[in-house]
Amino acid sequence: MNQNRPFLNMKGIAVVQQDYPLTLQGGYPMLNAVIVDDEIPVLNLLKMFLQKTGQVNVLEAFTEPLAVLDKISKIKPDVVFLDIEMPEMNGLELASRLTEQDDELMVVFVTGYNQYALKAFQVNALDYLLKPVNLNSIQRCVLRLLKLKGLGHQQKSVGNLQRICCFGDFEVYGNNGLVKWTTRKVEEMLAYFIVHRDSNIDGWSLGEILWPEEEPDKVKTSLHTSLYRLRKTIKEEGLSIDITSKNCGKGFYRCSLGQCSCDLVEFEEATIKNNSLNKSGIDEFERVCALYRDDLFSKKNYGWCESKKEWLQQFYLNMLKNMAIFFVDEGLYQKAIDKLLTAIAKAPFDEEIHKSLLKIYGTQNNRALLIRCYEEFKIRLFKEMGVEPQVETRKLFLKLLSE
Amino acid sequence: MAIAVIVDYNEDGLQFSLSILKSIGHFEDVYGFSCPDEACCFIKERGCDVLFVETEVKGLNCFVLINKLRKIKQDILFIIMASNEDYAYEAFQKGVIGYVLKPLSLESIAKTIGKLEKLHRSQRRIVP
Repeated sequence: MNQNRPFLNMKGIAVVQQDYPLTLQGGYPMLNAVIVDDEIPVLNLLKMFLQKTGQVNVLEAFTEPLAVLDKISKIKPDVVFLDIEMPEMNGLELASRLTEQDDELMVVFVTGYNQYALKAFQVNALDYLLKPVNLNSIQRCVLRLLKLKGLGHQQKSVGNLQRICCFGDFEVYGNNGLVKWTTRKVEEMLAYFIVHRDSNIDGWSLGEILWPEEEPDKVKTSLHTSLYRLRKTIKEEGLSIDITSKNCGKGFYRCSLGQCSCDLVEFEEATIKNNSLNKSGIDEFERVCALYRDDLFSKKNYGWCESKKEWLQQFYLNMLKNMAIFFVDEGLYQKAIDKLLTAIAKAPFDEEIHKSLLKIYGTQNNRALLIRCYEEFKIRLFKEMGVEPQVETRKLFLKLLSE
Repeated sequence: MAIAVIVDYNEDGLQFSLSILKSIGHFEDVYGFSCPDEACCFIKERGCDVLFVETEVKGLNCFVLINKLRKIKQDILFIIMASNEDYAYEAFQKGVIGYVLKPLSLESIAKTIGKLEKLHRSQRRIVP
């Protein structure tokens, strides 16, 4: 994959052509869900977590319980996630009335209070989650629902709840939810294997990277112990990751991720396909962009992946810039601004991104934001780097201001 | 639904629960044990589909027993029989499917069995 470094100019942005949801839905069990909560932020968070499991289609989200009663027979979800304390009708009563309409509907309560648990059992709820919810509890709940629905064994065989997240914090989800590694070195070893997957890894070099300060004998022992622990955890968690040893005179290892889905793999697959950005492909760009939650292993201090991290970040920034250009061409200025602001958060000193943003504010005749954007950039540059914006940027700003 | 097992330290309570479950007529066989170890041995040999368990049996917390039994047989559905609602939230957390208050009544058991049947039906609908 590294040999196939993509073309990074403005028109050469990469996307994957396939329709993403189908790759997860096709042949894999999915739950159709409806969410009801009177608080919109909670609703959004829940929706995001459910979608992140890759096993749930959120068909509709409601803030008003009565609206659900009218529509449930048309939507026909497998499961409803209900808040309990809501105006108009509480979640317990809503659950009873919904199951009267469809007695196979599964009910999960998501509430801030634990005192309704008995009542929840009495209305035949299958799970009861306490707020604030997190991805781990949602993941466990979805796994449980699938199992109860008789889809658990299918899920297990394809293992598509198994997930590796490399962007942002390094998280691996196995059959028991978020995997807890026995040591930090075991975790780092897996991270290294993931980045260098499907290629031969020299055991000696790996040892030196992970234990740079140790004596050779100690490195060898540490390497074998950590590898043993890593394989043991992989087995216990039912992960489809396979690490094979190749002892042809030298110690080589090779790692394959099998059916385990991984954000880094998906992102890199996208980078090697050079498709141009157009109306039909924009959703795919959004999806690939969303994979990049933060920099590669951003919360870990893995020195060995610095160049990879930088390259991925550059690619991401170029995607954002290209999407902004596309949105400007389509007249969708706010969307373009959102993309550029996201890019600025990642690259606060990038002149090109700031120039694009200034142009949009100029086109919109928004003098206040135009001045603010330029002045903030100028102050930031001076404060952090002790320099002024480039002459071209200044000229552009003055030209836009005078127009 | 094939085999149901009840684990209850109190002999009278056990007999009462047995009579209710048998009268409901949803299970092919219903077995009762007052000793958790005996129940484990039985389940190891004969299996179990639904297990009704008291919150505490001979000083053993029901969740400890549930964990132990899950290692023997993964897909048992657990229903807790309790005298109060103290364990209800934890029951959800531990993946328990039903929670009924004692003394058991035909109505509460029928309702819980209805939930199991509903799941059973939806499984048949989805898995060919």
